[in-house]
Amino acid sequence: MTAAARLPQPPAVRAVLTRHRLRPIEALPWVCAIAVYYAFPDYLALGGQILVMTLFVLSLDLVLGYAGIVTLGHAAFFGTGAYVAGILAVRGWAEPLSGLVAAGAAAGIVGFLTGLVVLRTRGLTLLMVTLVVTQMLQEAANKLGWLTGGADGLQGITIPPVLGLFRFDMFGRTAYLYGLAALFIGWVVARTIVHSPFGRSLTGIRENVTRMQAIGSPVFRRKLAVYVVSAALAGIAGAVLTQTTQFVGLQVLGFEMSAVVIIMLILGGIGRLYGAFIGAPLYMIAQDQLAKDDPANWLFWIGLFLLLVVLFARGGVLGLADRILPRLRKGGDGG
Amino acid sequence: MNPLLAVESITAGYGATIVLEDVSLTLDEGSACAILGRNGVGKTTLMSTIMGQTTLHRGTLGFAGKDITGRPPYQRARGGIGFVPQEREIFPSLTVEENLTVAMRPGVWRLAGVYDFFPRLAERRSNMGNQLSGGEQQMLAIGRALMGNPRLLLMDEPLEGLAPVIVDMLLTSMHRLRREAGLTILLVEQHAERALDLAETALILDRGKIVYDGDSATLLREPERLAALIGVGRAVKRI
Repeated sequence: MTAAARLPQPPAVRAVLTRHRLRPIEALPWVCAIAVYYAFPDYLALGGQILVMTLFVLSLDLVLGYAGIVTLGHAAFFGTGAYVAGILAVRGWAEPLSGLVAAGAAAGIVGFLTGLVVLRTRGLTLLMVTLVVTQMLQEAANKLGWLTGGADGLQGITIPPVLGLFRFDMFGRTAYLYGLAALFIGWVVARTIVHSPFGRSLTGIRENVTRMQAIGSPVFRRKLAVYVVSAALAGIAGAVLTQTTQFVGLQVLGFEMSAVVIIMLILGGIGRLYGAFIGAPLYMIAQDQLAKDDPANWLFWIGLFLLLVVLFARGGVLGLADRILPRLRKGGDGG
Repeated sequence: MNPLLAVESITAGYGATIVLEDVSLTLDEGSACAILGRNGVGKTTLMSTIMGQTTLHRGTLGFAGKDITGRPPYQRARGGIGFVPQEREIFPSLTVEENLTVAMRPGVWRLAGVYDFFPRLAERRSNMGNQLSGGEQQMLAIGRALMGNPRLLLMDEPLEGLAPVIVDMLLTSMHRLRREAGLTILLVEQHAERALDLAETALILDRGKIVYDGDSATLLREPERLAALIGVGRAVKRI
């Protein structure tokens, strides 16, 4: 009786396995990132910020795209990481790599503590509670001027060379590669999580919480776990921003930051790991260009673009590609 | 011997709304019980209450000698209660195989065993959850419950809306589950004769209360009584 089950196994198992294996297309973002480094040396400052935002969006995708936690307060963790890295540097612990780790850990702890409360809610309540958490942190950063620099921002951050070798230069070369390295590590972490059984259970939680509970999944603990990991990644993104720009302002904890990161994710495509790699560059390059060409109305154009995506390209750019690519292939076959 | 499942005078519902009133039932290990009744009398609510998904106002629930009243659903599932819900609730963006493995808990039922039991699922293993026929979805829902290695299987109208040939196939599978795997089954089913054929005891609910609790055979011998209790005229004709 086992023969029947064994027969179709080898090809089918391979099919399942290939979903997890690295596909050649997955090298594309990294090839592009390195190409940009050589092709556009004048744009590396912008490029570095895009890499930071990509990591931030990637971290949001874990909670929003995979676990279905619709949060309006992800800037809380980005900002925590940014401030912790900045404060450490100002207070004499300027070594960047350990600063990143500390910032990630601090954001993870904030994620754990707030997650204990926030993740007990859902829907509109969750939206509001996450918003409140971020606003409270921003207000705290505003009031604690002696520590954070308050509304003026934290100044006087100087970061020594990475590993004692690579100085942060004024052209943003080191910053770009530093951000790229952080993004790469974040991507490895996120990708591993997404393809693990834990990641599968997150998809299950997003699609049907009741069912996941009924098959024995401790939903709250799973959500908390991914929330902490995501918070830590967001914190690292914030810390990279601080270390590479040598400045932190209150906007890192702002509502706008939380909103923009969601917009980037929607533009790229939610719940597919690579939405971040499309949405963040697309938004920031569009913003950069539009701000130059039409400084008065650039936000209008971004809004219009978002409207079009929501109306005609559900699933973002990657969703659109999903629908167009098969048609192109079919067209090529003459059908 | 202690019963595997002991439901003692529970009153339950959704929030303040009470659907079930003072319902009790016990199930011995290896037995099967059919829950019958018209639409909206609380059959699904009884299942969901055993799983811990409703608001329990009064009463206690015991499973495998332990009090599980107030335990969250996931602990009940881990304790050995499997639930095949009415809506099947397959995860659409997981493959068939992932739908199974996401529910895996240690025990005799593993992936190969489920594929042996439902060879159709083995053929479909790389299909996404939303690319399955109704019958395949139902097999997957049952398979997914089995992956959790339950001692008690709750099945809420597993045959509803399926083609007759699939219904026969699933009924055979359910008989096998009892016979070969020794599973304890609590089955909600609209078609009385199918359910009574599978389960040796029956429970009939009406407006949230138990109106019959006894042998299936007795009911099968008295079709008029059965028809009156479940309030469906056509049940008489079918039997």
